[in-house]
Amino acid sequence: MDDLVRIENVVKNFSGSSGFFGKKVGFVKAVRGVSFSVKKGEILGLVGESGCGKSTLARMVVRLIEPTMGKLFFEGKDVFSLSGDELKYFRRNVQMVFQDPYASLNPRLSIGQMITEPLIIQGIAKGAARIKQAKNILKKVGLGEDSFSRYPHEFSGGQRQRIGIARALVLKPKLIIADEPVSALDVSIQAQILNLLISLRKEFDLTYMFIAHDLRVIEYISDRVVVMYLGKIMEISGSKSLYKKPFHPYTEALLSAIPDINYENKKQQIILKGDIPSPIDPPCGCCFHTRCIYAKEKCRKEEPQLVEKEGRFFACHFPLT
Amino acid sequence: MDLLKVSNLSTSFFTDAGEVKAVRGISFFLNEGKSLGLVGESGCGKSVTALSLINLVPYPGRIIAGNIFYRGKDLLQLESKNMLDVRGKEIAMIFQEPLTAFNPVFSIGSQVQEAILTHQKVSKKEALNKASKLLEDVGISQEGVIENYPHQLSGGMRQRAMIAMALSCDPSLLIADEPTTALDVTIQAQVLELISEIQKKRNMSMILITHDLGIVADRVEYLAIMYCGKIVEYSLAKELISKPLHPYTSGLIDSIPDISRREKPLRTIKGAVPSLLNLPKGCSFCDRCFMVDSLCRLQEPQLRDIGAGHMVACHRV
Ligand SMILES: Nc1ncnc2c1ncn2[C@@H]1O[C@H](COP(=O)(O)OP(=O)(O)OP(=O)(O)O)[C@@H](O)[C@H]1O
Ligand SMILES: Nc1ncnc2c1ncn2[C@@H]1O[C@H](COP(=O)(O)OP(=O)(O)OP(=O)(O)O)[C@@H](O)[C@H]1O
Ligand SMILES: [Mg+2]
Ligand SMILES: [Mg+2]
Repeated sequence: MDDLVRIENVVKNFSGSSGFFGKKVGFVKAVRGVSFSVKKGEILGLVGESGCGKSTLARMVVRLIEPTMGKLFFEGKDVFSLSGDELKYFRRNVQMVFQDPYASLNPRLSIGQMITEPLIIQGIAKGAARIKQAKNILKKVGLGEDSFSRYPHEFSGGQRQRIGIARALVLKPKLIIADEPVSALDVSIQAQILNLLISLRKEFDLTYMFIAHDLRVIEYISDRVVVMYLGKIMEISGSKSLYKKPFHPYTEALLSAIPDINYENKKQQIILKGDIPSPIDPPCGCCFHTRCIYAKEKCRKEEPQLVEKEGRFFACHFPLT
Repeated sequence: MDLLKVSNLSTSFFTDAGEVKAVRGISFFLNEGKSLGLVGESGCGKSVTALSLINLVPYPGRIIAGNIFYRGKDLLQLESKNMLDVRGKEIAMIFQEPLTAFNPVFSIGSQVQEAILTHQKVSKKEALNKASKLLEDVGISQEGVIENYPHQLSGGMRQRAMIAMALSCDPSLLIADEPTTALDVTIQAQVLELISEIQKKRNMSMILITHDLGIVADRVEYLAIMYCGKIVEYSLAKELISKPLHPYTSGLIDSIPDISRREKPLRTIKGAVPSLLNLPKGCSFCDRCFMVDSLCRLQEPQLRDIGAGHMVACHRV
């Protein structure tokens, strides 16, 4: 399979975040040397706890912020050296769906204006054809034609998320980055949106990069999963094999924390001690060692590199293989 | 004996747009040392129920009907001074967002100490010792943390400090309103484990409120499912999960992506929750229900016992 996106040794530091009384507190090391690719046609899941750098990575892929170091490629071209027609092509083909369906829609625009806006900017279709195309997309995401002239506040959270998806889809992009698209929704509505995203993938030949902190959602939707912790990749694996047998202790702990309503197959839960360390000053050696139940001397001293085994990748001195 | 007995509790908000019937006649009871999970989707009235129990419904809301008996006393008939006593000493509450529950200008330690001083006749020194013991119980024992201000703690630590604060008066009933919703899965597991442990150790009663059935199912003895201001199903937790009777309950269970049942597509509940300003005439779930018939649209079903304490409000079971 071809790589649609390739991420090479990407680093992102946020500087200048001053503490109280203007004290400099140093860099936030949000993403600390990350490499992986998104293959054409797949759904790649990105998981990890709050603050591990998922959104920062997503925002670099869509070219909203620039990496401090490293490179990102879309269809083989360096995303940050694009200009002119190539940039326009990129903007059209890489779309983002945001977490908060309440905050991400402009309250002053009708749904129709919102969906046709990207078509106007890209100069696609005119007049009646443009409106028809927009209404078509609304229908695809399960909203009636009558929603065209209505405003965001008239819709529920689930419906608003559908509007966000319609707007991303209207340009028929190749890649959709969905940053926690269902986290703010109730389970019953969440299930509707997940099913919708999966059915749209087939119909529009889409590739997704799907971000979530809920492993139940990631497991359900992804073909492959990237597990992040403190700005680094801990493990990359096919979704099925990851859930069957995690190699990295962090993945194991994350999986074990998943709430499960089945009493029968409940495993012994691993409860991680302590909090996530600060990204300003991540622990040396393996950054997970402060919370890892298997940590040994070597883990405190030496940083493990991402290595391959059975087509899976993990960064751990003592993997659970 | 019943520690808490709620009957026909109804709370509404009188807004410019009309009467929002947030809680519409709910009844349940809770025995000493037992735990109840109150589960339902956003806006179904869980928090308003909790606030009603401690008589703290904010304006323009009002409890319009019902009784709340706590150890035989009707809380709604108590004078506000006596209510204050019950609220501080007997019933404690943990809120979803712990930052707002703390005063930002005092250290964590001094706030827990203060809480102890208000309700117990002890010296300042004793109170401080008790406070640090409590914080230690919830896993905050690091040097110096007791002197930290709320904003200096992580989300998980703040929630643990909040638990220490709630426990400071040795309550008999703990109400936890989405205590872990704002936290990461790993921290969520930590905090829930802590709450369950303390509940069992102290033989407290507990009401655990959440929208995530998965996180409470094996931590409480009883479950109540709420929909549009009503309890639609109530039973022993195990029974409710393995044999849900209300179509809404089974819909909720099926909507959770389940690691062990990798089946596509996810079953969903069609449509969305109706507006509380404009509920359908009969059963409030009728427009989303796959078993709906004409009676459901005419008459609102009542919660009834169908055996062994399993209660359900549905015409079709
Ligand atoms: N503009 C910014 N300036 C300073 N720090 C930032 C900025 N954006 C993000 N950060 C920091 O970078 C780190 C990674 O943030 P990011 O938003 O990527 O996390 P995330 O994995 O998406 O978390 P969440 O699950 O909470 O959304 C965090 O510590 C965050 O505080
Ligand atoms: N101050 C208020 N004024 C008007 N309506 C209110 C007010 N507070 C709550 N409501 C309404 O009462 C209903 C129940 O709200 P409640 O906060 O109990 O929901 P919840 O079940 O706790 O939801 P969540 O899971 O989102 O916390 C909602 O429809 C809400 O809009
Ligand atoms: Mg994020
Ligand atoms: Mg609430």
